[in-house]
Order: sequence, then C-alpha cells, then structure tokens
Amino acid sequence: MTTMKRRTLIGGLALGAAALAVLPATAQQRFDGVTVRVATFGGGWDKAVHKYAGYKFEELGGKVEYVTAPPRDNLAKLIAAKGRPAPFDVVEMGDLTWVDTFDAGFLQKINLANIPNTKDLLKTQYDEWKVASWITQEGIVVNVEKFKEAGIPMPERYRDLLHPKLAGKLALIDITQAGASQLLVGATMDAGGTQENVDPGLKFVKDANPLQFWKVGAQVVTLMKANDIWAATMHAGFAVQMKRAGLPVTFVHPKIGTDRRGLLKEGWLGVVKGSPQPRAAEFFINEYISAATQHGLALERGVVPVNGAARAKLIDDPVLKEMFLIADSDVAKMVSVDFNKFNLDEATQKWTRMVSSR
Amino acid sequence: MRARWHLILAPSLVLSLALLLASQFIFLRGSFFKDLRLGRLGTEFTLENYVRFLTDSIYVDSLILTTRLSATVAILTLLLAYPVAYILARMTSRWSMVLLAAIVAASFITIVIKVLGLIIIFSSGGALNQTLLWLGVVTKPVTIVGQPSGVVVGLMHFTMGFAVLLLYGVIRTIPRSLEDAATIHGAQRWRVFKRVIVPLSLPGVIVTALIVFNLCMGAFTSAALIGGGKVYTLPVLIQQTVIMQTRYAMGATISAVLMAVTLIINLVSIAIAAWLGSVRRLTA
Amino acid sequence: MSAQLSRSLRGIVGAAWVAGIYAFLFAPLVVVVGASFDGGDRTFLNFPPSNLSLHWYGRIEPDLFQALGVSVALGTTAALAACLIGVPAALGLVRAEFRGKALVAALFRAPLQIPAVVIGVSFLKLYYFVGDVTGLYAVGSLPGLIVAHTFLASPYVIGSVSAVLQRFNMRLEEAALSLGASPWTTFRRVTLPVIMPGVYTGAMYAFLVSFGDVPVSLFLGAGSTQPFAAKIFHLMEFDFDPSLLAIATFIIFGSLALIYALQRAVGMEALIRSGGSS
Repeated sequence: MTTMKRRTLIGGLALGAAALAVLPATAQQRFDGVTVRVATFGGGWDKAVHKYAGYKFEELGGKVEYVTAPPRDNLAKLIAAKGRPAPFDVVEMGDLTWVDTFDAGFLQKINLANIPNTKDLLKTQYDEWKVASWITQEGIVVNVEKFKEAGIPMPERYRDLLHPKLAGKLALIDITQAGASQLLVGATMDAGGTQENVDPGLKFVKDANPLQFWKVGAQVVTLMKANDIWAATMHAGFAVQMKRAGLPVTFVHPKIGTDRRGLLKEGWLGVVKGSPQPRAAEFFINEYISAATQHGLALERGVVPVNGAARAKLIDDPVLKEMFLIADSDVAKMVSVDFNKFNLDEATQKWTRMVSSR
Repeated sequence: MRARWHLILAPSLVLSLALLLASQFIFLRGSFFKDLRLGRLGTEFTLENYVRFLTDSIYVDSLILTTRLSATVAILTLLLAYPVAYILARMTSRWSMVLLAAIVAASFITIVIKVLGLIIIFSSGGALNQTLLWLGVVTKPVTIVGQPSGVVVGLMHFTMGFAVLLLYGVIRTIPRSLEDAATIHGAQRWRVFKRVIVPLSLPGVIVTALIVFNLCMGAFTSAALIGGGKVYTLPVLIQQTVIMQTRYAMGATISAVLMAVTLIINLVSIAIAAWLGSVRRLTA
Repeated sequence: MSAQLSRSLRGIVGAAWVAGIYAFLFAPLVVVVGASFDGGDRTFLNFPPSNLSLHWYGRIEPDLFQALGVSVALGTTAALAACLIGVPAALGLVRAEFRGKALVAALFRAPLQIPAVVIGVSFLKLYYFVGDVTGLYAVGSLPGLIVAHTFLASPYVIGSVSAVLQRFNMRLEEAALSLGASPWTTFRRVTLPVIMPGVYTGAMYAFLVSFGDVPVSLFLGAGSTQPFAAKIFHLMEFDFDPSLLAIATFIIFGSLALIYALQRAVGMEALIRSGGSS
C-alpha cells in the first residue's frame, strides 16, 4: 500500500517535472498573428476538426481558416495555383489524391520532430511527406432482415454478392469516389489476381450489375431505407450511421483470399510546398492525430482512428465494436491498396468503357 | 436609326465575349497539346486528342447519348409546359400569380435534395409503383436511379419551371383581343389556337426550346446523381476526366467538341426555323 | 349546348394538365417537406413522417443561414448584372439586322453549354492569371463569384427578354418617336414596360441559377464566401440528417413569402399584367 503510494507520488513528481521541462518550450511556441489555412472536407468535418484540434492553435494566438471541398477539387485548386504562392498550408487528401498531389510536386517535407504524436501511429502511417489522418474500413453494408426474408446467406466475400436473388438490389461505389480502388483491388485479390491488373475486379463489377454506382452517401441510405437495395459496398462508418438510426444493418469485412480480411483506406495530411508557416502547419497536424482528436472524430464522424491509443478506446462502444475491426491483429490482416502497383487512371478508363457500353 | 441597335448590343457582346474567351481560351488551348496528366501539357501542337475523341466509341457514344437526352427533354418539356403557360397566361384570377410563384419556389430546391424525394416516390414498395403494378401498367416496379429515363425526369425538373415562365412571358405578349376577335368571327377554338397563337408564339417557343436543349447539354448534377454512375453524358465525362483523372487536355477537348456541336445544332435549328417561317409567309 | 359542353370539357382537360405538371414538380418536395417533420433520430428521409415534431428545425446549423445570406447577396447582384448585360443584348439581337446574327446569338448562349465544372476550373485559372498581372486575386472572394455567376446567368436574361421582344410591335415605338419623344423616354415609357415580364423572368432565373450553383462555387468560394448550395452539397457528401430537409422547407416557404412581398412592394403583378397589350 505504502509502496504503491510512493510509486504514484514519484510518478506524479516525475510527470510534474516532465511538464515543467516541456512548459517553457510550449510557452515559447506561440502563434500570435499566424493564420494557418487548412484544405479539408466540408459538411461538418471541418467543424469537428476545429472542435478537437483547431481550437488549440487558436488558444496559442493563431487563427485557422478552412478551405472546404472534396480532395479532388482541392487538388484542382493546387493545379490552378501552380507556380504561385501556396493557396493553403495543410492539405487533407484521400488515398488516391495523395499520389497525384505528391507526383505533381505540391508537397514539401515535414519535420517529424514537430509531430511527436506520430509515436501512436503505425510505421506505415507516416513518413516525411505525409501523416495519416483517419482510416475507413471498406466492405459491405448488409440489410440483415432482407437477406433473411429472401433466404440469401450472409455474404463473406465480394463474390457472394453475385447471388441471383440480389440482382438489382445492390449499390456499388462509383469509380469517382475514394473507396472504389479498395473494391476493385479487394475483388481482384479474392479472385486470385494482383494489384497490378484489376481486370478480375472489373469483371466482378460487371457481373454484379448493381442498381446504381453511388456518389452520394445519403442516396444509398435512402435507398436502403426504402428497401430498394439490400446491400452496398461502402465504408463501415455508414453502417454505424445506419444502425444508430435504427436500420437493421450490419457490416461485413470481406474475406480476401485465404488469410486476409477487410480493406483499409487512409486519409493523409501534408504540408503544401511553399507554405510560409510550416511550423504552424506541423503543430496543426500534430493536434489532428492526437488521441483526443482521433477519438472525438471516431465518435462523431464514424471514422477509425489512426492513433492506436484512441482506437483501443472504441471497444467501449457496442456499435463501433460490432462494425469496426479494432484489434491490432485484425487490422494487420487488412488489405491496403498499393498505389505504386494499382493504376487508378487505367482502371477508371476501363471501368468507364465497360459501364457505358452496357 | 438602324445602327442604334448594333451599338446597344456592342458593350454586352464585348463583355460577354471577353469573359467567354478569357476564361475558355486558357482551358481550351490545352486541347491542342499532349496530355501529361496533373494539368501538365506537352509542348508540341497536336490534334491527337481530337483524333482520340473521334475514334474512341466512349466519346462518340456519349455525344450521341447527350444529344438524344437533351433533345428528348427539350421536346417533352415544351409539350408539357406550353399548355400550362397558356392557361396561366389567360387566367384572370389571382391564382395565376400564386401558381407562377409556386413554380419559382419549387426551382429553389436543388436537385441534390429533390433526388431523395424522387427515390421515395419511385421506391419499389411505394404507393406509385404498387398502383402501377395493380393497374397492370407495368409488370415490374419503375425505378429512377441508374436509368437514362430517370435522368430525363431529373432534367425536366430542372427545366420545366423555366420553360413555363418563358412561355408565359411569350404568350402574354400575344394580345388576347386577337383570339377573341377570331372566336367572335366564328372560328373554332382549335383553329384559332393553330392559326393565331402557335405561329405568333413560335419564335419564343424556338428560343425556349434552344435554351432548354443547351441547358441539358451542359447539365452535370442530374446525370451524375440520378444516372447512378451508368449514364455517361459528356458533362459527366468532362468532370471525371478533369477532376478525377486530371487530364485537362482531354477534358478541354471534350468541352470543345461539346460546345462546337451545340453551336452547330443551334445554328441549324435557327436556320430551319427561319426557312419554315419564310415558307409559311409565302404560303399564307 | 355543344359549345357549352366542349368549353367545360376544355376546362377540365386544362385543369387536369396543369394539376399533372404541378404534381410532377411538387411530388418530391411534398416528400421533402413531409419528412422534415419526422420526429425520429435518423440519417435518412422518412416518409410518411412518424412522431410529428419540429426538432429538426431547431438543429439547423446557424452558419447555414450565414451561407444563405451569401447566396442571396450573390444571386441578387449577379441577376442585376445579368440584366445589365442581357437586356441590351436581347434588344440588339432582335432588332438589329446583320450578318452572322445567328452566330452572335449562339455565342451569347455559349455559357449554357459549358459544363459548370469547366466554368469553375477555367475561372479559377483566369483569376490567378489576372491576379499575376494586376496583383488583385479574385479567388475565394465575393466579387470573383459574382463575375462567374453573371457569366453563368446572362443567357437566361437574354433568352427570356428576346422571347418577349420577338412579339413586340415596333410601331408603338415608332409612334412615340414620331410624336417627339426622345429615344430614352421611348425606351423607358414604351419598350421597357412591355419587355418587363421577360426581364423579371430572366432575372428570376438568373437568381435561381446562381442560387442553385454548386460546381462553380466549389472552386471560387472559400470559407465565409461559400454559398448555400455548395455548403449543402458538402453536408450531403458525408452524412445526412433531416435538418437539411428542414432548411429546404424553410427555403420553399421563404421564397414564396419573398415573391409575395416583392409583388406587394414593387407591384410586380401589375408589371407582369401589363405585359400583354390586352
């Protein structure tokens, strides 16, 4: 008992000392008069980010401005502004947009020493060009009731969606949406193919002959509610949203091949080349990936935290526990798209040709 | 005296043309250079993007589809809107104002939200489909997403209000006294309509038809949201090519062809209308 | 008797036709308005609504109203500017005789055929270019949006005004001029009242086009200059909640009230009524 107390006491003292040691450093680091411009998603995402991360920057005297648009549109803004002062400092990108933004030379190196919170991230989730900002888990949202009624077995893999009774009752993600890459790669690998050639995945899409390729999440949810579709390929956050709203859905992380299950999609943060205040940008990124921010975003917006400490806490929520793969051992089995191998541009052209010639 | 109208036109033309050329020149110029993605262009002048457009069935099929859908919408919208505009224009009660205001109010709501309502209306278990099935009009539920016919419905939502308002304005300028005079002289209502109203409103009808047609040729949202990723009109292809694939040169090429084809269709329609008008005048 | 019969038959057919078109236009809105009164905690549109409630109206984000303000200011300015360009253009197009008139008319209509995404990207490029030369960057500013929306909206004014002008009897003007009225007085007193319905229609639609635009605003607006439709579009991208239906309902009835107020204030009804020479 007394040893325990002493240990806590010493621990507390150590912590206090550490805090004191850190204090002067942070006290120096003020951002008076500095405005950091952040290109990110709109629709409440920007507000959630500000609520958990952005306000800290403003507490230190700075100001955060959000430039909201889908990542592809923000990339178009960078292209239009090429050769001119950076239109924003921090840019949030989807997985496929990251490749283009990097290739076009719009990013500058990050000083990872200024982003200590990367300690809670997997090694694959950050490097000197980018830091992961969230994870979504791609798979299949299933209306459990309708499947039971129609006597369709619960799907385990993408190809189970080819069940004849599901004809016209499916929505697949559209090729223009982030997440289509995961569908193509997942279906391809499950059919024994590789990321270099996603023709098997395209064939799956063709055979599935869905009611629609969706572009707006709200449409899928409305179609699901109207029982016009019984299953949709989308990310687990949508299943969380639908379940909480009372729809009889669950989420299937599709098996891929013999030993893989589920698909990962990441969002990335980068610093725009020529940003006049990289230090402020890095501070913002560090706050973005903190355990508190990541946990808040997960609860409010249905994404999976990149921060391991935040991810572990999700176990407490029954719905999130059901829909997300949380344990590190499960996450390790998930498939990531390798954009050095998977050629989205070529896949898009093939997809368009296939779908429009039907 | 005659020159006056040229002068009045001039500032608007200079301004519009300046905006058109300034904004489009930089973009369309790209269509003559090799596409290197990410907004990068080759340095040598080439027509290869245009050759690709003409030899690749994706683009040609999409052009035909876009033109066909736009023409269908223009014709359907005019046929449906004309009687409404006529009745509203000849209505003497205050209701005509309420009805006109209602059309404007309906146009305030973006198709992005209307689509959700349309999905509910056309849901397979919904009242509409159940009634149609019961009546035996259809053998399986009518769907709206993922169908060209759904895109037509969406585009008509977009253009109908404007067509009614335009035609209302046109018909209001035809003096009612002309109709009354003809009716008093014993002409049948239908003949009055055919011989007086239709010819007098024809120029306005043609303008309306062209506006509706042009609007549809450039419409993105309806095709993208209702087409369910299956209806590839040219604007959808342009958006995908420029924003998703960052192929600015190819996107510019598709844009240029779209503009050229629409321009030609406009000129030809006006020429045909003028020719019909002169024939009518000669035979009348 | 048969005339009587055919007349009432005509009335019935006419009424049914109008009713049909209005049903077509309003059916989705009835669903939207109805579902906005749903009492549940949902992420989808529930129709018919259950547990009638107004609670979604209380959950409308305040900055949506701010964006609505931006849209109204933007739409009004763009509509006015479109009239300044469109009315003279229509007068010239209908009245003047010159070679290549059809071509000029088609050029005026050109903005309609450029997909709005392309207008967004190309104006963004243009503004950067102008900014490089003059040091004034219109990117993300209200004036930048106004110019692009005026470009987008002017064909509507030109179209609706020329549609009305086609039918205009020029002898009225000639009579006024021959009676010694100045050209300006003639225009103001004779021409303008007649083409006013066309101007109102065009302005109304110019406003609507600006108000409903998403793609152009997405590129040219930023932060506090982001118009309403673009904000809604963002909201729908991620998740959906019925407060969007609530604000849509608010807009439907708000615009009806606004049109009514406009009619009372400027006597638009009288002006539209004066459109015909009847």
